[in-house]
Amino acid sequence: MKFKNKNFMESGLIAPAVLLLFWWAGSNAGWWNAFLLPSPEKVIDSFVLSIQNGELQKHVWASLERIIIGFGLSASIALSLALLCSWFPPLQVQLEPTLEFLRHIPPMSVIPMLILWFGIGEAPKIILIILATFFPVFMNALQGIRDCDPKLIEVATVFGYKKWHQFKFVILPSAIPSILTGLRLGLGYSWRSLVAAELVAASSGLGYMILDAEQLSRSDVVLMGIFVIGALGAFLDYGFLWAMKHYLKRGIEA
Amino acid sequence: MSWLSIEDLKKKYALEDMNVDALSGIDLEIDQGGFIVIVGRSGSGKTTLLRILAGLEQQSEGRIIFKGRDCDQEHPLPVGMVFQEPRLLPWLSVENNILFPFHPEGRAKDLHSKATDLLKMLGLEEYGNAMPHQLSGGMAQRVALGRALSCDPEIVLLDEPLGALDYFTRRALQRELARIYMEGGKTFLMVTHDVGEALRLGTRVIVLKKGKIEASIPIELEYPRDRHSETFQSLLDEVLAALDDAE
Repeated sequence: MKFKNKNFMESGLIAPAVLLLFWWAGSNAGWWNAFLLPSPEKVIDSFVLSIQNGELQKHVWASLERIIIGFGLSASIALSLALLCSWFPPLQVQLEPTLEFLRHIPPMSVIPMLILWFGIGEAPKIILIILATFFPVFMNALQGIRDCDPKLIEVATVFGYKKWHQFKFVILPSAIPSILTGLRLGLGYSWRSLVAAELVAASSGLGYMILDAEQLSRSDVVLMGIFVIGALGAFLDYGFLWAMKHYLKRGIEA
Repeated sequence: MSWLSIEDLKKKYALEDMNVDALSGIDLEIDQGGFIVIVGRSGSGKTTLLRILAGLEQQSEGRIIFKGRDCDQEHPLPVGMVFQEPRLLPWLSVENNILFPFHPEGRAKDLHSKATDLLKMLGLEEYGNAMPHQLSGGMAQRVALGRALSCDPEIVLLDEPLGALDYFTRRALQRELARIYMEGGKTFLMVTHDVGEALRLGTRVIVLKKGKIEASIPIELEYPRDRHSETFQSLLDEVLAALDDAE
């Protein structure tokens, strides 16, 4: 088979290909216990089977649904609060100690209290996503707004832009890259925290699927779940990155 | 009363325990259609004067009267301004940067032709869709000039607009500024460190010293000006002498 060397070298596929080859060779040569690390063929079989019986789709959708609601709510709250804080600095002064305190609490540590208050329904998982996502989105948005070049604001002032228009047409567009970075980080955090939440208290979702497989000693399903989580997370991030680049390339034409 | 009067304009800055007088009483009468160039050493107050006229700073005392009406930050002068750096908005195309003075809300649809005309005048007709990072320093400064002119201001303020450019770009833009001035009939107020530039462009050169006007020298020469001519040289000596006195 002939391939373009340069493209292959730059594709980033070498490391996964080597790992996969090592995994496949080791499994077939019996270098380790197949229960501890099942072969790639077995994991692929589990993947195909769970797609055929609809289990995987069900769990993926359950997880994605939580992400959409949790991340959407979190991003809305964080962006609104960042805009309010930048528009009305005393609010930020008042909120800062509380936010600084909350920022250092790992979201996972509040799971017991969330279960106590809200049961094992959807609410604790959504709240967990909000807690995990809020700070990267909020901090990046606030920083982006603060970092707007004052010289550009002067340009707007000279040309008669009032405060609101300066904010809308200069400060906000200049903060867009930072806001998008925060959203991207937040999306990654939400995915990770969700799976963790589903491991603790859920009856559906990819985290639950993994936990269930562990109790049934199905390490092939556990591995399959891990790969699906990684692939979906990477896909979401890639999609977001693509949208971000597309948006920035097009420019934010006023 | 003059078209634009500046009366006893003062500006004080509080620096730690001391007050610094950036402007200590500027009196200036400006007629419509002139090209006033303000020269002075660093710290003489020339940029402060321009920033007050642009509405970016408030004077401590004094009045700015335009067509018989007092101007301040609430009621600013009708100006367009070019800064030392282009200060283009990086997310807007060249055309949208030029149209920036027209607020995006309620911007008329037919402004595209206005932008095209300005781009043509500035020799940038092929760059309307380019983004600022794709332009050279001289091109970006031309766009900034186009932006200042697009809203058809009565007064154009230029704060050392050519200071950061190389010699050849600077000379080219000086010629362009002179041409635009002669075509447009607008009033230009420019701050520069370069006395030669002041004489090539100005119809009057104001020399500032420690926040006060040291000299006001009318330049009655035709454009384009021959810097080797005797009159040019004697005016150059006069401005330099005023600057030396201002030391």
